[in-house]
Amino acid sequence: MIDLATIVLFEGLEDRRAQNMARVFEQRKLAAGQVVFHEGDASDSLVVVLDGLMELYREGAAGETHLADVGPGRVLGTTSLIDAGPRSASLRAYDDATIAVLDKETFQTLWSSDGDTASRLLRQMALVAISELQSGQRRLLESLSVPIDSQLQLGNMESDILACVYQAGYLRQPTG
Amino acid sequence: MGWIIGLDPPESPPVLEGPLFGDLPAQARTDFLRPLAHKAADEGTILYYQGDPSDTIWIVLSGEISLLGETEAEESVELDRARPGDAFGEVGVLSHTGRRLTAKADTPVHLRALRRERFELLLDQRDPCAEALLRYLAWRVCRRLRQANLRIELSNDVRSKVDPHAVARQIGELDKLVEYP
Repeated sequence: MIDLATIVLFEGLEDRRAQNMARVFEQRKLAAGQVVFHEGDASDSLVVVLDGLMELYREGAAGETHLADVGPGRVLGTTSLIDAGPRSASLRAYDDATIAVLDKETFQTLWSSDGDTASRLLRQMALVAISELQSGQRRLLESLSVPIDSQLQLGNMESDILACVYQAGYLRQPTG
Repeated sequence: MGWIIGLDPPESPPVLEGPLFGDLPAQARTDFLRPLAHKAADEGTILYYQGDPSDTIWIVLSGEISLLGETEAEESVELDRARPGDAFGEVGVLSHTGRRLTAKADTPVHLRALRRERFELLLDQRDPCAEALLRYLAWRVCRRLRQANLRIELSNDVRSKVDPHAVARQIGELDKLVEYP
């Protein structure tokens, strides 16, 4: 099992400070197949995989879609803990696993009991989110660099929706 | 077209009342903002370019700023927008890296400049405005991440097959991302 204080979330911090932050996490054992959270759930925690292999997946009408295998050291749910938005994927253990959890309530309490640690932890969480943002924006720019086929044969409803998408600036309207 | 120096900053209710400093009162916000340098720029001014050093978080008193990325074909694409009561430039400052996007004034703008050293000092001193701002900036990074992921999904769906229901759901989710909890 990895030492929680060595994960990316605590990178660049002094050992003592990292150890202080690690103390606010709660360790949990998972059985094979146990689901930690479902896509769309209200978010209430940040999860770090300490031991074992886990699966990130999405649950659609047509069934499950595998997204990624995640192993020790991986930090999940940073975004959800910060912005209180819903989970963007589901997480479950393939086999027996151990995770460390920081729930929202503990994090909020930390601001009054040890505000310095809470502030440092939030800065570290923002760094993890920034790294994910940079990778997401790179992928978005790659995706947008391929023009959308302007000759798509669309019905009225599809055309109306696409018009909304272009008007809002979410995607670039094909030229020509 | 360019930076303008020496003007007094206008009143900015969005900064004094909006989510940038959580639930802190206007007086605390005013005290926090007063020592920060004021800058104004004309419409069309590039406030910084991708690759420039990051040493400042910009607080928007008035005007709109587009944050632009560049595709492989060297076309500019808007990835985010900052409006009155908002702040931008946080990514480079928080991560101590260079600017990742280019910031362009789409209208005349009035801004306050929060230098990195000052922000970090105030955070170390547990200044309530600085901490509230940190919470807002962290939220802003997460909102942008969700937006990027949803736009990728949207782009894939539109290309593969326009499923009106899936696309409409994604538009709804994108629109919901604007509110600060």
